Amino acid sequence: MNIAPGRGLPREYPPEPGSPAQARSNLVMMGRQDFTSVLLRLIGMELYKLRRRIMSKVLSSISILAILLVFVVILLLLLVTLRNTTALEGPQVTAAADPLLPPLSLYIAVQVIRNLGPILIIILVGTIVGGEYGTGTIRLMFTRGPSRTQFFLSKISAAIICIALGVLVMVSVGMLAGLLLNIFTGVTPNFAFFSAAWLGHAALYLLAAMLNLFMYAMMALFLSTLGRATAAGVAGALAWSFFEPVVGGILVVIGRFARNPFGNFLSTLPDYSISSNIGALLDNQNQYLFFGSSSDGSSPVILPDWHALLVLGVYLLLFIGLAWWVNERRDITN
Amino acid sequence: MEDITPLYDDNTIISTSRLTKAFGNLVAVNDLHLQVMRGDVFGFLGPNGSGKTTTIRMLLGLIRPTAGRAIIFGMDNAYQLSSILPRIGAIVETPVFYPYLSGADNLRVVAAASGMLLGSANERRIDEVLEIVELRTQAKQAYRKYSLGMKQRLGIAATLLTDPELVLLDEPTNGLDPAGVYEIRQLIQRLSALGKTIFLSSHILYEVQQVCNRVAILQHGNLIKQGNVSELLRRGEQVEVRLNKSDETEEAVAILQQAQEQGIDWILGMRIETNRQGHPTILIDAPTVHSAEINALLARNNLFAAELHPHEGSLEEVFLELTTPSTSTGARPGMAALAGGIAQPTLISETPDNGKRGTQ
Repeated sequence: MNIAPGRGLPREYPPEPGSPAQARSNLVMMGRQDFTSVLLRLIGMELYKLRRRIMSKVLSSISILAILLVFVVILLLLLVTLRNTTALEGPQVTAAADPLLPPLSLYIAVQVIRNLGPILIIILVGTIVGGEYGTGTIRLMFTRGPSRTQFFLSKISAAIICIALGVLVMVSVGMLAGLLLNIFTGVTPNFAFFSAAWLGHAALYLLAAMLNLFMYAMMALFLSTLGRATAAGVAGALAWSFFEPVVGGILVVIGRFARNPFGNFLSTLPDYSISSNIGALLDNQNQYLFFGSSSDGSSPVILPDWHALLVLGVYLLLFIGLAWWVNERRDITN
Repeated sequence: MEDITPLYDDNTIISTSRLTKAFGNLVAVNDLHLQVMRGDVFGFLGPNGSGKTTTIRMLLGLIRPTAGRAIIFGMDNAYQLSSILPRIGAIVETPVFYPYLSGADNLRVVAAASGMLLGSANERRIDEVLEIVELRTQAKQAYRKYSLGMKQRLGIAATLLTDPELVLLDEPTNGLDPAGVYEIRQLIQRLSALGKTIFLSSHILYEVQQVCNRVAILQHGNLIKQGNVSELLRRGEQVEVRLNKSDETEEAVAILQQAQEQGIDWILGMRIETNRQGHPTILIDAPTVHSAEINALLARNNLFAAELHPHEGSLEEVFLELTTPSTSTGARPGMAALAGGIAQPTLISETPDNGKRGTQ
């Protein structure tokens, strides 16, 4: 008889219904066992664990404090400017107070998220994924019933929920803080910019901000899965996020100096980096939201949205696909 | 080797066929054929590095076999793992939980991961299993503050949480004090009485002998013995006879050998050894129920035993006999016969005595 080898290889026997399951104790309340129900329970479990972690509370506090601090600093700078400059007229004072008020306060909030958010989300995702290997709880999770894919998807879903909540809370807190702090300037907010179109673009802008964090989250997920450690995910993704723009800048400079086809090639490479494409998505919405419409084509578009989405999609496919593959195929030893 | 088709019948809980795992050139588990029947308390024995934990990991789908298959509850674990695992409660090596969560919170997480309802629906069950392992008063304490014994007991609580049909315990008494070990033994017996199938990997052979009805012994990744504990122990039984004079001892051995040649098949062998007091004694490999017959045989030849001790076999002796090469050279005939099947899985009994413990 040819003995078929392990999982993932050709099946020799058809799936068996198995022996009938014995009844459990009356106190054991089992939930539905379909794929989605199991996945939803696992997501709930991940969020429960996050709620109970001190780390997630610390990271949330840092994010809220950071955005509050930025708006307080803006207010202080504005007050200092107003005190030292007597020449400012009414419209100029109003313009100076713009960063505290919508729509520009949205821009400020998203800029804070864009710069601080990746660091926080990398730490969070690196820990929730790599920590399972570090503590060995991956063994516990993989022997309880859900498939590895469900377990993997629950981690991604928990990251998405954290990102969405984080962005919405930070933006809300930032804009609200701006409005409240604006009381000290005495400038009346003007909501004339508000329209359905603006709201649509603001939603896209926030989605782009979330996508920015999701990219780094998936990078941390991939690296911590690959390295079976929190440190691998956190250090690797942080290093990427810091060095990618630097390396991109260097490549552009070298390319310009070279002035040959290879130089041109080098200078176009940053167009395929994560930071450039996220930047492009956000900047393209900036045109509509804060700096006048570019629908007439007058404002320069560095990278089109379709290019940015395509490049980021490929990165996501690589990060998620490889992490999933490693997760599925890996032997869980010590 | 003859092929052994994995079993799919309702009475077979675990059936492996040619299960093999190699890490590079190292073959951790080789051609393993295991059979665990419903209701068994199955002891899985072997020296360190013999492949016990690797086997358990393969059964639970943590590692992928290089070859072969494992059928659990009649389902192939390579393809139907998610249907199998909810029916198993397992501890693999030292149980590990989330250090920042309390014992109860960890069980809530395990409950959710095991397919149990979230929220308060399973709080009574969580309390119940914490009560069983006597951790209820420390339920709210952070896991990182638990002692090794408490961690082990929380692992057992997690194992029992879903009231599984198959309880798979890898060294469950590590870190437990004697009272804790006793409690676990009692617990295993209670679970067995409830019809659970227990797969127990342990180094503590006395513990296994006390609770298991069937065992498998692994060495260097090879299954060297699988069978009923009672059967194994029966073959390890000896009758120790001491006579007053050394020439009587020689004479007694000659009489017993003669009897053996004349067809008394329950005398498997004998040898002379010096006991602790320095007296020569005859160790007869024979079931202890024949002690009186041995005495009578000697008496009929005017040899009267100064001492006669029925010596019950222990799993430890059987284990050492099978796994220690140096002792097998001077092995008692009975033991040598047992060890004859090294590297060839030998089923001592094809019909396990379900529910009937070898020694209790």
